[in-house]
This record gives sequence, C-alpha cells and structure tokens, in this order.
Amino acid sequence: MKRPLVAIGLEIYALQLAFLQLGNGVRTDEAKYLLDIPYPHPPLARSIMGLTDGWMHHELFWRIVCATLLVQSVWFVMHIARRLSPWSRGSLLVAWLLSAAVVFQGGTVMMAPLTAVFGLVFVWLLLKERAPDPASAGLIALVWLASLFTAYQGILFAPLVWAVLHRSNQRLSVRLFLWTVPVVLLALYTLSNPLAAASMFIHAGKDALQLPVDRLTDTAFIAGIGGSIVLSIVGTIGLLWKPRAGLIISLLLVTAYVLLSRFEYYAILFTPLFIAGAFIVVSRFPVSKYLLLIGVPVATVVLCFLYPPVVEPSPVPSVLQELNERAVGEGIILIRGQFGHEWQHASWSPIRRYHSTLLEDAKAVICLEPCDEVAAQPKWAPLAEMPLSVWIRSAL
Amino acid sequence: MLSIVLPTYNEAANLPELLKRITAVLKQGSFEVIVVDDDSPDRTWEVAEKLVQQYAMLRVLRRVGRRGLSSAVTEGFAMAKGEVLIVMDADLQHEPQLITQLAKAIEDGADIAVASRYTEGGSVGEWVTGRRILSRVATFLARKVPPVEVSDPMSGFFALSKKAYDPIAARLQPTGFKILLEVLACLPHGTKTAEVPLQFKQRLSGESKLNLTVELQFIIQLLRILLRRLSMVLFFLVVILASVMLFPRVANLSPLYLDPAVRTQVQTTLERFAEMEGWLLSDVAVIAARTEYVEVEYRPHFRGKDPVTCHRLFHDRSRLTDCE
Repeated sequence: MKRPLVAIGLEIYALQLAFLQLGNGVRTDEAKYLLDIPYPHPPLARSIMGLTDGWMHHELFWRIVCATLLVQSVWFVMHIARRLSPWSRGSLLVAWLLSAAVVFQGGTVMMAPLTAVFGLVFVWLLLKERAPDPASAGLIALVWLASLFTAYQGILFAPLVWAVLHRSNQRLSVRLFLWTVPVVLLALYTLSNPLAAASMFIHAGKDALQLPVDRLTDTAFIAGIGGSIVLSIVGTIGLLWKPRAGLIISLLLVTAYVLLSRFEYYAILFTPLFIAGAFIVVSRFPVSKYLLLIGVPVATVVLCFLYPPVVEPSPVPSVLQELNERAVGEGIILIRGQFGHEWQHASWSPIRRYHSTLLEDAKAVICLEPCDEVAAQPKWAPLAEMPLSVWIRSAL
Repeated sequence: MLSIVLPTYNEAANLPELLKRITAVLKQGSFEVIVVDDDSPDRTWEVAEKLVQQYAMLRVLRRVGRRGLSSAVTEGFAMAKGEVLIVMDADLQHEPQLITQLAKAIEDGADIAVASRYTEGGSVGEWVTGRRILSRVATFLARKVPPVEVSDPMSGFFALSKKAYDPIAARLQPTGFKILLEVLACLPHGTKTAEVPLQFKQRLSGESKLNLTVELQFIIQLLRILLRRLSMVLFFLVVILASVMLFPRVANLSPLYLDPAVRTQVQTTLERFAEMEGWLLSDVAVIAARTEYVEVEYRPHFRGKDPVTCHRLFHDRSRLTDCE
C-alpha cells in the first residue's frame, strides 16, 4: 500500500509542476515538438506528441506527461539507493525531485528533460546492485536507440551506455555492435533530413563570438542549476572520488556541450550524473545526506527567489482565437515580421510568411512589422481591440 | 557435500517430519539443510532453531522484512557450502527419497537435475481438474521460454551444481515463486539437464500459497524472460526497419552530399521558392536532389491535420511543379 501512496504523492507534485508551466503558454521550442516540426531533433518523441495536436487540451496533456516522466523516474533513484538507510535514500530522492533543474523544467515540453530521464535510466543500469543480464543487452541497445531518436543530446551519454553494456558482460564484438549501430542509424537519419543538420549549424553558430570567460561562467551557472549547487558539488566530488570512466566522460561531454551551447534548459542533463556522484558520496559518507536533505531544497528556494520564473502570458493564443472566430472560411494566415513556432501552435489554419503575391489566398494578415500595403487596400479591415495589428478580409 | 535449501513460510507443523525424512534418506552422506524462513507468523523459524539441537547439520535464516520464495532460495544458496545445491518444498509434497537421485544426476555430469511431474513416471497426484489444467498450460508456456528446456520448469524440487550456479548468481532476478524458471532462463544454451520422475504428494498440514498474486507474478516473470530472450531479435527488427526507411531517402539525397554544385543550387532554389511562396523552412523537407531540380515535401504545421504536398522545384523555373 505504501508504494501506490508514494506514486500518488509524486503525481500530485508532477501535476503542480505541469500547471506551473501552463501560465506562460507554449514557447517556440515547445511548439516545435508539439506540432512535430522536423527540426532539429529526430522524430521519436515529437512524432508521438504531434499525433494529438488536434486535441484541445493537447498542451496540458503533454506537460503532465513530461512532468510525470521526470518526477516518477525517481523510482530509479530509489532502486539504486535501496540498500542505503532510509534517510540516506531519502536524501537522494530529495536531491532529484527538488533540484532546481527538475523544478524549473518539470512540466516543460522539451527534449532535454526526456534525455535526462534516459540518462537516469543508464545511471540506474550502471549502479543498480544486479548487473544487467547479457541476454538483455538488446533491450539496453533499444533504450539507447530510443534516447538518440528522441534528441541528439542523447549522444552525450554514449560513454555511460558503453559502461552499461560492458557491465552486461556481453562479448566485446556484440557490445560494439549494439553501441555503434544506433549511432550509425542516427547519422543516417541526419543525412535523410539535411535541413535538420543545417538548422543545428545555424543554431550553434549564433553565439560563436562569446568570450571564453563568459562561456565558463555560464556553464558553471547551468551546472549549478542542474543540481541546485549543493547536489552539483556533492555529485561532482562523488564522480571524482570514485572515478568511473562512463560517468566522468559523460560529465565532460555534457560540460563541453553546454560550453558551446549555453541554454539554461540543458541544466537538467547534468542532474542524472550528479545523482550518480551523490550516491557514491552518500554510500561512503552517510553524514553527507544531511547536506543534500537540507541544502538542495534551501538552494532551490534561493534560486527561485533570485531567478523567479517569468510568467509573461503571450498574446499569441488570444490573437489567434479571436482570428479563428472572426476570419471564417478557408485560407492561409500571413504574418509579417519575425515570429516563432508558437504562432503555428495556436493556429488552426496554415501560416505563411507575408508576401504581397499571397494576399489573394489569405484570410488574415498579422503585422508584427508595419504592413502599409494591406492597410491601403479597402478589401482588408483591421480587427479592433487587438494587442497587435491584425487584418481580415473586409465584408465590403 | 549436498546443501538442501528449504524456503519456508508457515511450515512449523511440517518441518520436524520433513527433517526426519531427509536424515533418514541421507544418514550416511555429507549434507547440510538450510531453512530460510520469511518470519512466519506460525514461528517456523523458532521451531527450526529448536531443531538445530537435534540436527547438527541444520542452519536457519530468519528473514525479517523480506518476502518471496525465490529470493529466499537465492539467500539460501548464498549460505550454502556444498557443491550440489538442492531446493525442495517444506510442505511434504516433495518426496525426500528423490534427493539422492537428483544428487546422483549432478555427480554423473548434469548441471541441473529436475524432479519432474511431467516426465514418465511422474504425476501431479490428486489435484482437482482446474488446477491440473492451469498447471499444464503454465508448464507448456514456461517450457518454451527459457533457453534450457526441461519438462517441468515450474517444479520446486531440483538440484544444481555450484559450478553451474556461480556464474549466473549475480544475474538472477529472484521475484515470485518460480525460481527454477528464473535459473533456466539464466543458464546458457547447452547446459546439461537431467530429470527424475516426481509423484506430487498431498499436503499433510498448512495451506497452499497459490493465489492470484502468485499467478500474476508468474505471468510477469514469463514476459520478462521472453522480452530478455527476444531483445536481440527486437533490436535487429527495429534496426532493419529503420534502415529500410532511411536508406532510400539518403540515396535520393546523395547528390546533395557528393556534389557541392548541387548543394549550392538546392540552397538557392529552396530559398527562392520559400520567399516566393511564404513557406517557413521548418515546414519543408527535402526528399530528393538532382542537378535540374529539388523535390520537397511541404507540410504546413498547425493544429489539426496538416496537408502534405510534394513539389518539384526546378532550378531554372519560377513556377511550382507537382511531383510525378
């Protein structure tokens, strides 16, 4: 009876995280996955998400699913730590559930938290008491393949996966095959979708001119978020204390990746590795559990105060809802100016970039930049009381 | 030396008689009996501890806070000193006479010897028809799943050489009641097996532990073993399927990677048409590249069903052409 109650408690927490994110509406990156837009990530998770995009509550549904996956994956931590004392075990559970990365990113529909869950599964396979059976190496390879086809960042855990396959005691040739083939398939997928690779290069080149010092401080900050500073420090000490190549090299890869691409949402990629390190420390020095039990929640609260989540409801859903009601009939919606994928996510009609030759096929025009050409034509009428300049076909 | 492991739960009434029978059978041999009790409410462990004074070869492990027949057996195996490990039920349904036959089979070179109800000369005794059918079905399913096949993989009475057990000990997942099935799932192909007929006896006292939870655990165990065995096949299937889907697409795009001139032309043409048609590049997927044209799939992403159209964009034309 105890386990179902814990699961229900965790689910309530997951729901809270999901609802916390709901206030901001869908962000451009989230819209990409929710609409199954094929850039930049491979298709596994996004194509499943895209199946429900015709459903009214699809955003809430996926926020809950993502938060649930992240929160309920604490059972893996519980299993790793099951031989520890209840308080030591509890400290690791608190460290996962209340790390700033989980609090900030639970409930977001992003690929980084899903990759972190895969990372935690690999950490579990590496640290759990019983080594994986050689016969189950195929399953490990399937999970590895699934993680790579969820997000490219899965590759950062490649050393960890190698260590897990090594632990399974399979023959070297089989291990090599199971480890390499998913990577080759990912490369093949990338070649089959050239614009994905192109978009990654464009994305990566955006802050190429940043100073190394800025990169280092940003990376340290992101790693700090990954474990609410306390778990980050304890975890790193643990990983260095009893070095395991799989964990250490994965940590180095994640760090190197964040140095190149400094987005705060990558903080969660550190968390499973820090949990592994913290497990090593708590197993050896049980007194360190108090540091995690008290330090992680306190640090998360402090971080929440210092960097409060910005709740800034976007005008996009209201504009497009109004448009759906007023601009009836078939036709495309044209948008002038720079815009994100959240516009597509809020729209029930195709959206294209504004071009004067397309006006004939359009049922509405949204002007994020001045569009004098539309204003000059009597067949277009502005929609009143809108936060943006929006035009629909005039009744005249 | 033989190590006989007796996993017990509420077997206080049966244990003294069982030990009497075992010692009667093995009086001249070198053996130990390990009782692993899951803190039985009828205090089986206490009865066993008292019996230690009478039987010097008896060892008792009382497990508090841990339950399950399979894990009790593996804990018993971990304590065992013998070269031959034997498991049997403590409810007197297993005839101790068979211990010597099982041990002999191991000494003769078998890695595992099973007392089978379904081999010639064996029987399930006086079970009711329903239980008889259920056991038959479960046995049929369980027989085919592990890599090592025996006629009665659900038997709770078997012997195993320590030499065969040690390499698999760390890999066993001892959940539920069917420890033999788990052992068979972990043993490698080519393991030498032997069987001796088992005539299942009626219980003298106590209650059967078979219930819905046990049946459910058995199904889960079976599925887990099946998944583990088929994991390589599954992986291969997924890899083949993905390759079949991806290779033709990559082949269609190969000029893009092999010829820089095609690459430049494709980029220019794509940008030109995207500008003209107001396409978002994220709605466009390049599906084929040639020296004269590029083929794209246009799928405007929005809520609801997205229409997908295929267009051939010629490098030297400014009009959209549908794919053939």
